[in-house]
Amino acid sequence: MNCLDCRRELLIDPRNESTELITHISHCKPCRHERGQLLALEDKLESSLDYSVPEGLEDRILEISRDEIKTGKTRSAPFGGHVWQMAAGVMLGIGLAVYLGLNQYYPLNNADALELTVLNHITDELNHLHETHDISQQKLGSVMTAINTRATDDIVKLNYAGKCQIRKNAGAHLIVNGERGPVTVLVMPGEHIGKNVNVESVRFDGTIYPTSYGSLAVVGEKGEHIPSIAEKLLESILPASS
Amino acid sequence: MDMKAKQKHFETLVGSFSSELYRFGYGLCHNSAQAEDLVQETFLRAWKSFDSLREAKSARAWLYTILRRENARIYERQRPEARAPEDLPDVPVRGNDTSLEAFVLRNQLNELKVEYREPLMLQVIAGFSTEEIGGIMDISANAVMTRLSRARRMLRESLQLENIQPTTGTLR
Repeated sequence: MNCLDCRRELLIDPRNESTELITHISHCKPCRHERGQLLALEDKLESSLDYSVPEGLEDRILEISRDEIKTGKTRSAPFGGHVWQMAAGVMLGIGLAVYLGLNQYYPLNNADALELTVLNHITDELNHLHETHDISQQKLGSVMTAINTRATDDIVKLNYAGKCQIRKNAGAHLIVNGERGPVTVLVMPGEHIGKNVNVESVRFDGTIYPTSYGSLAVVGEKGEHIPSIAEKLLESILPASS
Repeated sequence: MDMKAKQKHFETLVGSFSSELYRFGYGLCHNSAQAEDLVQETFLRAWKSFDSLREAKSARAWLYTILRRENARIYERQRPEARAPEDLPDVPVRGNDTSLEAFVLRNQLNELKVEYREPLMLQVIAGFSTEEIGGIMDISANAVMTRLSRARRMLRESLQLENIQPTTGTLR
Protein backbone atom coordinates (compact mmCIF):
# COMPACT_ATOMS: atom_id res chain seq x y z
CA MET A 1 0.00 0.00 0.00
CA ASN A 2 1.33 3.46 -0.89
CA CYS A 3 0.54 6.77 0.81
CA LEU A 4 -2.15 7.69 -1.72
CA ASP A 5 -4.04 4.41 -1.19
CA CYS A 6 -3.64 4.75 2.54
CA ARG A 7 -5.15 8.25 2.61
CA ARG A 8 -7.94 7.19 0.31
CA GLU A 9 -8.80 4.29 2.65
CA LEU A 10 -8.67 6.57 5.68
CA LEU A 11 -11.12 9.02 4.16
CA ILE A 12 -13.53 6.18 3.49
CA ASP A 13 -13.23 4.84 7.03
CA PRO A 14 -10.72 6.32 9.49
CA ARG A 15 -11.29 3.34 11.79
CA ASN A 16 -10.17 0.90 9.14
CA GLU A 17 -7.73 -1.52 10.77
CA SER A 18 -6.79 -3.67 7.81
CA THR A 19 -3.37 -5.32 8.07
CA GLU A 20 -2.16 -3.49 4.97
CA LEU A 21 -3.11 -0.11 6.36
CA ILE A 22 -1.68 -0.77 9.82
CA THR A 23 1.57 -2.01 8.29
CA HIS A 24 1.82 1.11 6.15
CA ILE A 25 1.20 3.60 8.95
CA SER A 26 3.61 1.79 11.26
CA HIS A 27 6.49 2.99 9.08
CA CYS A 28 5.00 6.16 7.52
CA LYS A 29 4.94 9.14 9.87
CA PRO A 30 2.91 11.53 7.62
CA CYS A 31 0.16 8.91 7.13
CA ARG A 32 0.16 8.18 10.87
CA HIS A 33 -0.37 11.89 11.47
CA GLU A 34 -3.12 11.99 8.84
CA ARG A 35 -4.84 9.07 10.55
CA GLY A 36 -4.64 10.81 13.92
CA GLN A 37 -6.32 13.89 12.48
CA LEU A 38 -9.07 11.91 10.80
CA LEU A 39 -9.71 9.88 13.96
CA ALA A 40 -10.05 13.13 15.89
CA LEU A 41 -12.58 14.35 13.33
CA GLU A 42 -14.39 11.01 13.57
CA ASP A 43 -14.66 11.23 17.37
CA LYS A 44 -16.10 14.71 17.11
CA LEU A 45 -18.46 13.66 14.36
CA GLU A 46 -19.77 10.81 16.48
CA SER A 47 -20.43 12.99 19.48
CA SER A 48 -21.97 15.71 17.29
CA LEU A 49 -24.41 13.21 15.78
CA ASP A 50 -25.39 11.91 19.19
CA TYR A 51 -28.65 13.87 19.05
CA SER A 52 -30.79 13.81 22.18
CA VAL A 53 -33.59 11.28 21.89
CA PRO A 54 -36.95 12.50 23.29
CA GLU A 55 -37.97 10.86 26.52
CA GLY A 56 -40.60 8.13 26.16
CA LEU A 57 -40.04 7.68 22.40
CA GLU A 58 -39.98 3.89 22.61
CA ASP A 59 -43.14 3.75 24.76
CA ARG A 60 -45.05 6.02 22.37
CA ILE A 61 -44.02 3.93 19.38
CA LEU A 62 -45.05 0.73 21.13
CA GLU A 63 -48.35 2.23 22.22
CA ILE A 64 -49.29 3.37 18.72
CA SER A 65 -48.02 0.11 17.20
CA ARG A 66 -50.08 -1.94 19.67
CA ASP A 67 -53.16 0.05 18.65
CA GLU A 68 -52.39 -0.70 15.01
CA ILE A 69 -51.83 -4.37 15.72
CA LYS A 70 -55.04 -4.49 17.74
CA THR A 71 -56.95 -2.70 14.97
CA GLY A 72 -55.62 -5.23 12.50
CA LYS A 73 -57.04 -8.03 14.65
CA THR A 74 -60.40 -6.31 15.08
CA ARG A 75 -60.74 -5.89 11.33
CA SER A 76 -60.45 -9.61 10.83
CA ALA A 77 -62.76 -10.52 13.71
CA PRO A 78 -66.20 -10.36 11.97
CA PHE A 79 -65.25 -13.25 9.70
CA GLY A 80 -64.31 -16.74 10.68
CA GLY A 81 -60.82 -18.04 10.06
CA HIS A 82 -61.98 -20.44 7.34
CA VAL A 83 -63.52 -17.66 5.28
CA TRP A 84 -60.19 -15.85 5.42
CA GLN A 85 -58.33 -18.98 4.46
CA MET A 86 -60.58 -19.44 1.42
CA ALA A 87 -60.25 -15.77 0.48
CA ALA A 88 -56.50 -15.97 0.90
CA GLY A 89 -56.42 -19.03 -1.36
CA VAL A 90 -58.44 -17.26 -4.07
CA MET A 91 -56.27 -14.13 -3.78
CA LEU A 92 -53.12 -16.23 -3.94
CA GLY A 93 -54.40 -17.88 -7.10
CA ILE A 94 -55.28 -14.55 -8.71
CA GLY A 95 -51.95 -13.08 -7.60
CA LEU A 96 -50.03 -16.02 -9.03
CA ALA A 97 -51.91 -15.81 -12.33
CA VAL A 98 -51.32 -12.06 -12.57
CA TYR A 99 -47.66 -12.53 -11.67
CA LEU A 100 -47.14 -15.25 -14.26
CA GLY A 101 -48.98 -13.20 -16.86
CA LEU A 102 -47.09 -10.02 -16.10
CA ASN A 103 -43.80 -11.80 -15.90
CA GLN A 104 -43.93 -12.41 -19.63
CA TYR A 105 -43.77 -8.67 -20.08
CA TYR A 106 -41.92 -7.53 -16.97
CA PRO A 107 -38.96 -9.65 -15.97
CA LEU A 108 -39.41 -8.79 -12.28
CA ASN A 109 -36.08 -8.93 -10.49
CA ASN A 110 -35.50 -9.64 -6.83
CA ALA A 111 -35.62 -5.94 -5.96
CA ASP A 112 -38.50 -3.48 -6.31
CA ALA A 113 -40.36 -3.19 -9.58
CA LEU A 114 -38.53 -1.00 -12.08
CA GLU A 115 -40.90 1.95 -11.74
CA LEU A 116 -40.26 2.09 -7.99
CA THR A 117 -36.54 1.89 -8.58
CA VAL A 118 -36.82 4.81 -11.00
CA LEU A 119 -38.79 6.91 -8.51
CA ASN A 120 -36.44 6.05 -5.66
CA HIS A 121 -33.45 6.91 -7.83
CA ILE A 122 -34.91 10.31 -8.67
CA THR A 123 -35.80 11.13 -5.07
CA ASP A 124 -32.38 9.95 -3.92
CA GLU A 125 -30.70 12.35 -6.33
CA LEU A 126 -33.07 15.32 -6.30
CA ASN A 127 -30.09 17.68 -6.39
CA HIS A 128 -29.56 16.88 -10.09
CA LEU A 129 -32.87 18.57 -10.90
CA HIS A 130 -31.20 21.86 -10.13
CA GLU A 131 -28.15 21.31 -12.35
CA THR A 132 -27.90 23.87 -15.14
CA HIS A 133 -24.74 22.89 -17.02
CA ASP A 134 -24.72 22.95 -20.78
CA ILE A 135 -23.38 19.44 -21.33
CA SER A 136 -20.92 19.14 -24.21
CA GLN A 137 -21.11 16.39 -26.80
CA GLN A 138 -17.74 15.17 -25.57
CA LYS A 139 -18.92 14.83 -21.95
CA LEU A 140 -22.14 13.15 -23.06
CA GLY A 141 -20.18 10.86 -25.36
CA SER A 142 -18.01 9.64 -22.50
CA VAL A 143 -21.06 8.90 -20.31
CA MET A 144 -22.89 7.07 -23.06
CA THR A 145 -19.86 5.08 -24.23
CA ALA A 146 -19.34 3.83 -20.68
CA ILE A 147 -22.76 2.16 -20.79
CA ASN A 148 -22.39 0.87 -24.33
CA THR A 149 -24.78 3.36 -25.91
CA ARG A 150 -24.38 6.53 -27.99
CA ALA A 151 -26.21 9.81 -28.51
CA THR A 152 -26.80 11.44 -31.89
CA ASP A 153 -25.46 14.97 -32.45
CA ASP A 154 -28.96 16.48 -32.57
CA ILE A 155 -29.94 15.38 -29.04
CA VAL A 156 -31.86 18.00 -27.04
CA LYS A 157 -29.94 20.35 -24.71
CA LEU A 158 -28.88 18.61 -21.50
CA ASN A 159 -28.44 20.27 -18.11
CA TYR A 160 -26.76 17.27 -16.56
CA ALA A 161 -25.27 13.95 -17.66
CA GLY A 162 -23.67 11.42 -15.35
CA LYS A 163 -23.17 7.71 -14.92
CA CYS A 164 -25.27 6.02 -12.27
CA GLN A 165 -26.19 2.63 -10.92
CA ILE A 166 -29.68 1.27 -11.52
CA ARG A 167 -30.21 -1.96 -9.66
CA LYS A 168 -27.37 -4.21 -10.82
CA ASN A 169 -26.55 -2.33 -14.03
CA ALA A 170 -24.68 0.83 -14.93
CA GLY A 171 -26.93 3.47 -16.46
CA ALA A 172 -26.95 7.17 -17.34
CA HIS A 173 -28.76 9.96 -15.50
CA LEU A 174 -29.62 12.92 -17.74
CA ILE A 175 -31.59 16.10 -17.08
CA VAL A 176 -33.36 18.02 -19.86
CA ASN A 177 -35.67 21.02 -19.76
CA GLY A 178 -39.41 20.47 -19.79
CA GLU A 179 -42.30 22.90 -19.88
CA ARG A 180 -43.01 22.43 -16.18
CA GLY A 181 -39.45 22.13 -14.92
CA PRO A 182 -36.51 19.74 -15.17
CA VAL A 183 -37.16 16.31 -16.66
CA THR A 184 -35.14 13.27 -15.58
CA VAL A 185 -34.04 10.77 -18.20
CA LEU A 186 -32.62 7.44 -17.05
CA VAL A 187 -30.91 5.34 -19.71
CA MET A 188 -31.10 1.77 -18.40
CA PRO A 189 -29.22 -0.84 -20.45
CA GLY A 190 -30.11 -4.39 -19.44
CA GLU A 191 -33.47 -3.40 -17.88
CA HIS A 192 -35.69 -4.99 -20.52
CA ILE A 193 -39.46 -4.48 -20.41
CA GLY A 194 -42.13 -5.64 -22.83
CA LYS A 195 -44.20 -2.47 -23.08
CA ASN A 196 -44.44 1.09 -21.76
CA VAL A 197 -44.64 1.32 -17.96
CA ASN A 198 -46.14 4.36 -16.27
CA VAL A 199 -44.31 6.03 -13.40
CA GLU A 200 -46.40 8.09 -11.04
CA SER A 201 -45.97 9.67 -7.64
CA VAL A 202 -47.34 12.65 -5.75
CA ARG A 203 -44.94 14.94 -7.55
CA PHE A 204 -43.78 13.17 -10.70
CA ASP A 205 -45.28 11.68 -13.84
CA GLY A 206 -43.44 9.71 -16.45
CA THR A 207 -43.06 6.64 -18.59
CA ILE A 208 -40.48 3.90 -19.01
CA TYR A 209 -40.07 2.94 -22.68
CA PRO A 210 -38.67 -0.37 -23.93
CA THR A 211 -35.61 0.00 -26.17
CA SER A 212 -33.30 -2.44 -27.95
CA TYR A 213 -30.60 -2.01 -25.25
CA GLY A 214 -32.99 -2.12 -22.26
CA SER A 215 -35.25 0.77 -21.36
CA LEU A 216 -35.44 4.55 -21.09
CA ALA A 217 -37.31 6.37 -18.31
CA VAL A 218 -38.54 9.93 -18.87
CA VAL A 219 -40.00 11.51 -15.74
CA GLY A 220 -41.06 15.12 -15.19
CA GLU A 221 -43.14 17.22 -12.85
CA LYS A 222 -46.91 16.52 -12.75
CA GLY A 223 -48.60 17.66 -15.95
CA GLU A 224 -45.44 17.55 -18.08
CA HIS A 225 -46.09 16.31 -21.63
CA ILE A 226 -43.77 13.32 -21.55
CA PRO A 227 -44.43 11.73 -25.00
CA SER A 228 -43.14 14.75 -26.95
CA ILE A 229 -39.88 14.81 -24.94
CA ALA A 230 -39.51 11.03 -25.03
CA GLU A 231 -40.02 10.83 -28.79
CA LYS A 232 -36.91 12.94 -29.49
CA LEU A 233 -34.85 11.13 -26.86
CA LEU A 234 -35.78 7.67 -28.13
CA GLU A 235 -34.52 8.72 -31.55
CA SER A 236 -31.33 10.25 -30.14
CA ILE A 237 -30.17 7.56 -27.71
CA LEU A 238 -29.12 4.37 -29.42
CA PRO A 239 -27.04 1.24 -28.78
CA ALA A 240 -23.32 1.85 -29.37
CA SER A 241 -23.27 -0.72 -32.16
CA SER A 242 -26.04 0.88 -34.26
CA MET B 1 -44.18 -17.36 13.51
CA ASP B 2 -47.32 -17.07 15.67
CA MET B 3 -48.83 -13.68 16.48
CA LYS B 4 -47.44 -13.54 20.01
CA ALA B 5 -43.90 -14.40 18.91
CA LYS B 6 -44.15 -11.94 16.03
CA GLN B 7 -45.29 -9.18 18.36
CA LYS B 8 -42.50 -9.96 20.81
CA HIS B 9 -39.91 -9.87 18.04
CA PHE B 10 -41.35 -6.58 16.82
CA GLU B 11 -41.20 -5.05 20.29
CA THR B 12 -37.58 -6.14 20.61
CA LEU B 13 -36.81 -4.30 17.38
CA VAL B 14 -38.53 -1.15 18.67
CA GLY B 15 -36.52 -1.39 21.89
CA SER B 16 -33.24 -1.99 20.11
CA PHE B 17 -33.41 0.45 17.23
CA SER B 18 -35.84 3.31 17.89
CA SER B 19 -33.17 5.61 19.37
CA GLU B 20 -30.63 5.21 16.57
CA LEU B 21 -33.37 5.47 13.94
CA TYR B 22 -34.52 8.69 15.58
CA ARG B 23 -30.97 10.08 15.45
CA PHE B 24 -30.69 9.19 11.77
CA GLY B 25 -34.13 10.65 11.06
CA TYR B 26 -33.26 13.80 12.98
CA GLY B 27 -30.03 14.11 11.01
CA LEU B 28 -32.09 14.00 7.81
CA CYS B 29 -34.93 16.38 8.65
CA HIS B 30 -33.69 18.37 11.69
CA ASN B 31 -37.10 18.51 13.19
CA SER B 32 -37.82 16.61 16.37
CA ALA B 33 -41.54 16.03 15.73
CA GLN B 34 -40.94 15.00 12.13
CA ALA B 35 -38.10 12.66 13.15
CA GLU B 36 -40.39 10.98 15.69
CA ASP B 37 -43.11 10.63 13.05
CA LEU B 38 -40.56 9.10 10.71
CA VAL B 39 -39.57 6.48 13.28
CA GLN B 40 -43.22 5.79 14.09
CA GLU B 41 -44.13 5.40 10.43
CA THR B 42 -41.08 3.22 9.85
CA PHE B 43 -42.16 0.77 12.53
CA LEU B 44 -45.78 0.75 11.36
CA ARG B 45 -44.66 -0.05 7.83
CA ALA B 46 -42.26 -2.64 9.18
CA TRP B 47 -45.07 -4.30 11.10
CA LYS B 48 -47.26 -4.46 8.00
CA SER B 49 -44.50 -6.24 6.07
CA PHE B 50 -43.12 -8.15 9.02
CA ASP B 51 -43.77 -11.53 7.43
CA SER B 52 -41.43 -10.68 4.56
CA LEU B 53 -38.56 -10.26 7.02
CA ARG B 54 -36.81 -13.59 6.81
CA GLU B 55 -33.58 -12.98 8.67
CA ALA B 56 -33.47 -11.17 11.98
CA LYS B 57 -29.96 -9.91 11.28
CA SER B 58 -31.11 -7.98 8.22
CA ALA B 59 -33.86 -6.20 10.20
CA ARG B 60 -31.69 -3.22 11.10
CA ALA B 61 -30.70 -2.33 7.52
CA TRP B 62 -34.30 -2.96 6.46
CA LEU B 63 -35.59 -0.43 9.02
CA TYR B 64 -33.10 2.20 7.83
CA THR B 65 -34.19 1.58 4.23
CA ILE B 66 -37.83 2.12 5.18
CA LEU B 67 -37.02 5.29 7.13
CA ARG B 68 -35.05 6.99 4.38
CA ARG B 69 -37.73 6.14 1.81
CA GLU B 70 -40.37 7.56 4.13
CA ASN B 71 -38.30 10.72 4.45
CA ALA B 72 -37.87 10.90 0.66
CA ARG B 73 -41.64 10.59 0.26
CA ILE B 74 -42.22 13.54 2.59
CA TYR B 75 -39.48 15.48 0.83
CA GLU B 76 -40.83 14.66 -2.60
CA ARG B 77 -44.18 16.25 -1.80
CA GLN B 78 -42.42 19.61 -1.69
CA ARG B 79 -41.75 21.09 -5.12
CA PRO B 80 -38.24 22.44 -5.91
CA GLU B 81 -39.31 26.07 -6.01
CA ALA B 82 -40.70 25.65 -2.50
CA ARG B 83 -37.51 24.17 -1.13
CA ALA B 84 -34.01 23.58 -2.47
CA PRO B 85 -32.65 20.11 -1.64
CA GLU B 86 -29.91 21.40 0.62
CA ASP B 87 -32.32 23.55 2.65
CA LEU B 88 -33.35 22.31 6.06
CA PRO B 89 -35.98 23.61 8.47
CA ASP B 90 -34.63 26.41 10.59
CA VAL B 91 -34.74 24.51 13.86
CA PRO B 92 -31.85 24.50 16.34
CA VAL B 93 -30.03 21.19 16.39
CA ARG B 94 -30.28 19.46 19.76
CA GLY B 95 -27.36 17.27 20.70
CA ASN B 96 -25.67 15.85 23.75
CA ASP B 97 -22.35 17.44 22.78
CA THR B 98 -22.72 21.16 23.49
CA SER B 99 -19.15 22.20 22.62
CA LEU B 100 -18.38 24.89 20.05
CA GLU B 101 -16.60 22.30 17.89
CA ALA B 102 -19.73 20.12 17.79
CA PHE B 103 -21.90 23.13 16.99
CA VAL B 104 -19.68 24.13 14.06
CA LEU B 105 -19.36 20.54 12.88
CA ARG B 106 -23.15 20.06 12.86
CA ASN B 107 -23.56 23.24 10.86
CA GLN B 108 -20.94 22.13 8.37
CA LEU B 109 -22.54 18.72 8.17
CA ASN B 110 -25.86 20.35 7.35
CA GLU B 111 -24.19 22.25 4.54
CA LEU B 112 -23.29 18.96 2.85
CA LYS B 113 -25.61 17.76 0.12
CA VAL B 114 -27.83 14.95 1.32
CA GLU B 115 -26.12 12.48 -1.03
CA TYR B 116 -22.94 12.95 1.03
CA ARG B 117 -24.54 13.47 4.44
CA GLU B 118 -26.64 10.32 4.29
CA PRO B 119 -23.90 7.69 3.79
CA LEU B 120 -21.75 9.44 6.37
CA MET B 121 -24.56 9.31 8.94
CA LEU B 122 -25.26 5.67 8.10
CA GLN B 123 -21.62 4.88 8.76
CA VAL B 124 -21.12 7.06 11.84
CA ILE B 125 -24.50 6.64 13.58
CA ALA B 126 -25.25 3.07 12.59
CA GLY B 127 -21.81 1.66 11.81
CA PHE B 128 -22.91 0.10 8.53
CA SER B 129 -20.29 -1.19 6.07
CA THR B 130 -20.00 0.36 2.62
CA GLU B 131 -21.81 -2.67 1.14
CA GLU B 132 -24.65 -2.33 3.63
CA ILE B 133 -24.95 1.42 2.95
CA GLY B 134 -25.02 0.64 -0.78
CA GLY B 135 -27.88 -1.79 -0.16
CA ILE B 136 -29.83 0.76 1.88
CA MET B 137 -29.29 3.58 -0.64
CA ASP B 138 -29.60 1.39 -3.75
CA ILE B 139 -26.19 2.47 -5.04
CA SER B 140 -22.94 0.55 -5.54
CA ALA B 141 -20.36 0.10 -2.77
CA ASN B 142 -17.91 2.05 -4.94
CA ALA B 143 -20.29 5.00 -5.10
CA VAL B 144 -20.63 4.84 -1.30
CA MET B 145 -16.85 4.93 -0.89
CA THR B 146 -16.60 7.94 -3.19
CA ARG B 147 -19.30 9.79 -1.28
CA LEU B 148 -17.84 8.99 2.13
CA SER B 149 -14.43 10.12 1.03
CA ARG B 150 -15.74 13.37 -0.46
CA ALA B 151 -17.93 14.04 2.59
CA ARG B 152 -14.99 13.77 5.00
CA ARG B 153 -12.77 15.85 2.74
CA MET B 154 -15.40 18.60 2.50
CA LEU B 155 -16.03 18.55 6.24
CA ARG B 156 -12.36 18.80 7.02
CA GLU B 157 -11.84 21.62 4.57
CA SER B 158 -14.76 23.60 5.94
CA LEU B 159 -13.54 23.10 9.53
CA GLN B 160 -10.11 24.34 8.51
CA LEU B 161 -11.79 27.42 7.07
CA GLU B 162 -13.48 27.91 10.44
CA ASN B 163 -10.07 27.40 12.04
CA ILE B 164 -11.27 24.43 14.06
CA GLN B 165 -9.21 21.31 14.46
CA PRO B 166 -10.50 18.44 16.61
CA THR B 167 -7.63 17.36 18.82
CA THR B 168 -8.24 13.85 20.10
CA GLY B 169 -8.54 10.69 18.08
CA THR B 170 -9.28 7.21 19.37
CA LEU B 171 -9.98 3.82 17.97
CA ARG B 172 -13.14 1.98 18.95
